[in-house]
Amino acid sequence: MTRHELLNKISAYAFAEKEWNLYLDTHPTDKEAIKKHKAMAEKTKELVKEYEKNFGPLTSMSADDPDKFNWICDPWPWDNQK
Amino acid sequence: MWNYQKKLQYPVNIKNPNPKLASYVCTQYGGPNGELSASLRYLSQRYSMPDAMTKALLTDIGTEELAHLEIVGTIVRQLAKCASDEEIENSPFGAYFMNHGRGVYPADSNGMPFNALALAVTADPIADLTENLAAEQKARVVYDNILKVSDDPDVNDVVKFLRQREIVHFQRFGEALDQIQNKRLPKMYCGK
Repeated sequence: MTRHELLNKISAYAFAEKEWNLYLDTHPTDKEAIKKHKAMAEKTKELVKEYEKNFGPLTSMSADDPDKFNWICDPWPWDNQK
Repeated sequence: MWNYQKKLQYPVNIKNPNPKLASYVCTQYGGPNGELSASLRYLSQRYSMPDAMTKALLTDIGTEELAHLEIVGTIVRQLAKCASDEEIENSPFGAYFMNHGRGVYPADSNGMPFNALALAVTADPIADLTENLAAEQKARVVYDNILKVSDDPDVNDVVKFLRQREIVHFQRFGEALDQIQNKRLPKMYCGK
């Protein structure tokens, strides 16, 4: 998967996680929704790990290059990426 | 606190410069019905919310609005970045350009800088949640208006996403208001 494709996939799962999150704020005992939220959160975390291994950190906490602080590397989110 | 993730909530990749559209879309960055107004409204109101549900909801929607602010700022920047001086001069973006260049500044489409008078905090959950219902609808109307005048598919795709979020937030605020009103906890209404 290219960087762009993987980032879009992360966005899709992270969006689904957020959507269940908001739903659960007002329906906190909906067990089916809790399961779906957990599944989306886990899938997002897994994809973020894959992304960071291949394309660099999505948060400063995951910067792990000993030679250069790679958190600062381009592109930043507002840069046109196509 | 907040943690920054180096990605947009929804991707923005605009091919064609369009300073006129930039000046219209900018109204959702710094205008009264925009995303800055929305995020500050919810993140400020949450301190006086009475229960766990409303504290969570205002924190989470307020946070999502910050992600939308970043999306709108990105649209404005990408529409303005490669526009020629001449294109800018012959567009409504020209007046904005004098002070802000091709940058992103929180002002509405009339050039009026962001004003916190666009939002309210009363510490009364019924008043605040009712304001939020109206705020979501007003933001939805602005996105409708952008869609009426824009023929750029790269912009419209993102604007349709943002418009849809206003509708979902309206739904969630409505559920919160309904639950608060049916709780019959008189202490909740004293504005403490």
